[in-house]
Amino acid sequence: MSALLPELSITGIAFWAPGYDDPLKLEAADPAIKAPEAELLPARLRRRCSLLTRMSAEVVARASDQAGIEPSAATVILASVYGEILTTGQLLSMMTEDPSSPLSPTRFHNSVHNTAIGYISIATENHSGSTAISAGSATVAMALLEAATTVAAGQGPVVVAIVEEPLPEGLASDGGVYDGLAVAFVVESRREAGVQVRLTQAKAPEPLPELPESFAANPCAGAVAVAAALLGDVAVVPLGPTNSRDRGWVLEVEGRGRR
Amino acid sequence: MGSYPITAFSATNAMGNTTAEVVAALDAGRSGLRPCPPEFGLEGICGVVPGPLPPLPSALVDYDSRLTRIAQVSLDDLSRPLEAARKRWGADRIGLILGTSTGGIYETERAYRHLAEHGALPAGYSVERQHALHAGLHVVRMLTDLRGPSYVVSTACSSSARVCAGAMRLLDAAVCDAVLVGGVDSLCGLTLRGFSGLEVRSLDACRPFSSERAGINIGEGAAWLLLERLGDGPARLLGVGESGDAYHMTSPHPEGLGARLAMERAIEAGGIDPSEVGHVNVHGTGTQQNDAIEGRAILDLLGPEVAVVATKGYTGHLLGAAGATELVLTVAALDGGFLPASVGSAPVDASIGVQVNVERRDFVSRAALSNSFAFGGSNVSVLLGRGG
Repeated sequence: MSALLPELSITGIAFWAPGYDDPLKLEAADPAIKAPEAELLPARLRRRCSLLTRMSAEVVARASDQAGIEPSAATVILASVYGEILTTGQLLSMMTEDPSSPLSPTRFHNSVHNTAIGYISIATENHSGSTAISAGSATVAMALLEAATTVAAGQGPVVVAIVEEPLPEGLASDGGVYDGLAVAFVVESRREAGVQVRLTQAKAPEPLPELPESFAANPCAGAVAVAAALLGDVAVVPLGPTNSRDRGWVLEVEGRGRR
Repeated sequence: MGSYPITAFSATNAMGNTTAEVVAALDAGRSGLRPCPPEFGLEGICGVVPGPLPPLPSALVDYDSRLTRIAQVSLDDLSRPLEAARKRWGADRIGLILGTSTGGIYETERAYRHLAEHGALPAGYSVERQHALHAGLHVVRMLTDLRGPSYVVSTACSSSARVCAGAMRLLDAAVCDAVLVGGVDSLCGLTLRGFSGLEVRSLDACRPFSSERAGINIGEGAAWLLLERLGDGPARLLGVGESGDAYHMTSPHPEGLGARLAMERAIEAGGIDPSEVGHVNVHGTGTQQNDAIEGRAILDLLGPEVAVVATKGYTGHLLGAAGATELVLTVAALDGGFLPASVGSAPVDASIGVQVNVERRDFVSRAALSNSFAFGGSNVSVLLGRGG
């Protein structure tokens, strides 16, 4: 049996990283881009929540606007390798300093992988079955596969937010030092608008170009390259690792509507 | 949406290392709860995997963690059915979806203590191979030799119920012909002390739906269900309902809106009438508020007659592994033609108004729901049917 994945359109693409907010303008950092505005979230919450949650809210809102969809009506898929790792790091430091006291309840519930989904669903009154996933080097590919099958199940439109914040100092010596980043794609059943794609497994095409040094080592940096390729003129966009036969998940571009 | 046979299952938790031990304890009404291990420095009751937990094979030794060792033990019972599935469908056509909330954070807690004492992470510690959610995924993939799509779902306490939704979509879209779904979480200081901070951890054995309930116990373990496009098994996955409360990060919607929506969507996806649901394996954590609100949602949707079973009195709350664990217990009940005793639930809180099954009894359910609700208002209800 061969896969029955639907014809898709990617109707919104948003990107944010310190110094950058356009996947086609990666040559030089803009020092004015320092913190995600995250206007989707109530102001009081915005001041208290993590960088990951704010970056997620920022790109979900911008991609939804671009696609002309209401974030309240979409299924939101958050994909991240380490999730709320800065909040987790704070909790780990607190536990080390004081080995017996209970932890801050707010920090504790803000450390779960689906924190951003929770806050975004509250802010947008979204009752859909939104999810939070992780798949190491296959995170981008698995997020888009989950999006494609969700659209196939009639639960679209889907907003895929691929978001990764930096590691806390304690873990960066092992896991690497890099800036955070967030990319969102709105994935819908085939429309005239947007980039018309098909998700499939194929022999891996040419690798995508390199990214700015500030976030090139971020484990979700591949999402930025995918965004740039979809907005540019790449015909077959590789999404992630390949197997022993050099095959992997790709987006085949079948057309590009007006942006 | 199709419905798919569950052709094999396994579980490892406080009731035992093997599936046979777990099912026998469920049948006998024997709780696995015991005092929290002294290393955590906390009073109270936990659900600890009895062990032993042997080390991983040498090729995977860099991925050593309490989590991956529990996962390894839990896969022992599946080697034959997985071999048959690989032969039938091909390893490339079998997906793997793992639910976890803790990942390998137990190892990172130890690494942070070492960092504070010595100024550096311990030799051999790796955030990518021990802490990361995908480290456990990698180990399971290697141990099972499954080569289809694989990813982790981490939506706190609904993680390993939500894996069933992803699996159904992969099967419906013919991306896979079989999917191994499951969950694994390990005990760790972060969750024990986090739930203490929320003031919902009971120091005594938990009492879901009892008038004397006083909070949750944390447990650990792993559970798996093998879904195949075709085949015979003890039960079938009929439908999955997912919903968001969109209300609060830790408190359920006061009218049980999200819980009700998840159950409604599961029943609708399964194409059955609500009256055909014979019993509900509740989320039933044992906190005052959550049990009352879940009970209200069940009453609203299914009425006062449906049987309710609460199983966290056997295992504690397995968090990211709770969904799959309770699905396995529900499959065992459907297959064995019985309703398990809800250990710790007597005396039942009559004000909730649902029929909590306190004593084990023979019972034939045509279909059963299993509920899992989580932080962020993330709700999942899974509808299972009898096999054959």
